[in-house]
Amino acid sequence: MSQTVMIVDDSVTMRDMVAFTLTGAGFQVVQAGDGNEAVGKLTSGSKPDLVVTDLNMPGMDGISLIREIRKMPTLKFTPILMLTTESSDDKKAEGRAAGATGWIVKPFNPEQFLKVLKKVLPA
Amino acid sequence: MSVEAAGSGWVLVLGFVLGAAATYGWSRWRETRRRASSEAAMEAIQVKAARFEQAQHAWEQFASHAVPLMPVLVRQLATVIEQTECAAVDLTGKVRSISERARRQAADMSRPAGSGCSVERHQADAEELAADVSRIVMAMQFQDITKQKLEHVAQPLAQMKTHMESLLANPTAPELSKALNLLEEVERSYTMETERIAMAHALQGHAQSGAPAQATAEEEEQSVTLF
Repeated sequence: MSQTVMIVDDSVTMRDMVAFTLTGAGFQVVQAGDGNEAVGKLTSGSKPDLVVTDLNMPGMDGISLIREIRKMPTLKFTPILMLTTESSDDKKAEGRAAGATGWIVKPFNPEQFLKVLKKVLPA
Repeated sequence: MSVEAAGSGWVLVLGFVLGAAATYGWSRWRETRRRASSEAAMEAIQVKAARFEQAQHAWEQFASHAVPLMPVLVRQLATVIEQTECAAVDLTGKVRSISERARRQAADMSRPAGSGCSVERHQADAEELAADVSRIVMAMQFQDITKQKLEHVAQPLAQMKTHMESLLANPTAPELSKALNLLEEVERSYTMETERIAMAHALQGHAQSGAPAQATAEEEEQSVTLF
C-alpha cells in the first residue's frame, strides 16, 4: 500500500509542485492550505505517514502546527519536514525544538526531496 | 480782575489739567494694551514656531529612515525581476529541450524496426527528460518565492503610508517623534538569504543585485537539514 504525505502550504503552486513530485513517485497526497486546515483534517481521521509543512502561513503557522501534531498521540512520532524559504539557524532551531524532523529550504529539487523523504519515512 | 474772570481762568486750567491727564491715561492704556497684545502675539508665534519645529523634526526623522530604505526596496524588486526572468529562461530552455527530444523520438519511431535506435538511447532520453522535469519543478517554485519577496517590499511601504498619513493629520503627535526602525523591521521580516544579501549590497551601494544564480549541487545539498 502506498504511503500518504500531507502537504501544508498556503501557496497553491507549491502544493501542486510537491504533489506532482510525490504522486509521480507513488505517494498518496493530502493537501491543506494552512495549519488550521491541517489540524482539522488530522483530527477528523487523516493519518499521514509524513507531513511536509511551510513555515509562514496565514492562520496557524508551521511551528504551531508541529506543536499541535506532537500533542496528538497517534502522530507523536510521525516525521515532519519543514519546506520553507526561511534559512536562518534561529528558525531551524525553533523548528527542531517544536519537533520537526528536518528542514528543507525552497526551492526544492524533486530528486533530492524524494531521497530525504525516503530517509525519514518509516520503512 | 473780577471774580468771574478769575473763576473762568481756574476752570480753563482745570480743564487743561484734566484733558492732559485723560490724554496721558489714554496713551498709557493704549501702550499697555499694545504691549500686551504684542506679547500675546509673540507668545503665539513662539508656540507656532515650536509646533513647526516639532513637525519638522517628525518629518525629518521619518525621511532619515525612509530614504535609506528606498534603495533596499528597489534592490529587492530588481532581484524579483531577475528571478522571474531566470525562471522564464529556465522553463523555456527545458520546454525546448523536451520538444526536441519528442521530435527525435517521433523520427525514431517512424524508422523501420531494427534500424539502429538502441535501448540505451531511449534510457538516456528518459533520464534527460526526468532531469528536465526536475528543473521545471524547481523553476516553477519562483512564484512562491517572488510572492514572499514582494510581500516584504509591500509591508514597509504600507507602514510608511500609515506613518505619512499620521504626519499629515497631526505632525506634532508625540508618538510620531519616536524613533522609527524601518530598516531593522524590514531586515527582521526577511526569510531568505538572498534577501539579506540584496539588502547588504544595497546599503553598501554595490551594483550587484544579490539575485540567486542557478543553485549548485553543493548548495542544493546544504538546503537540507535533518535533525
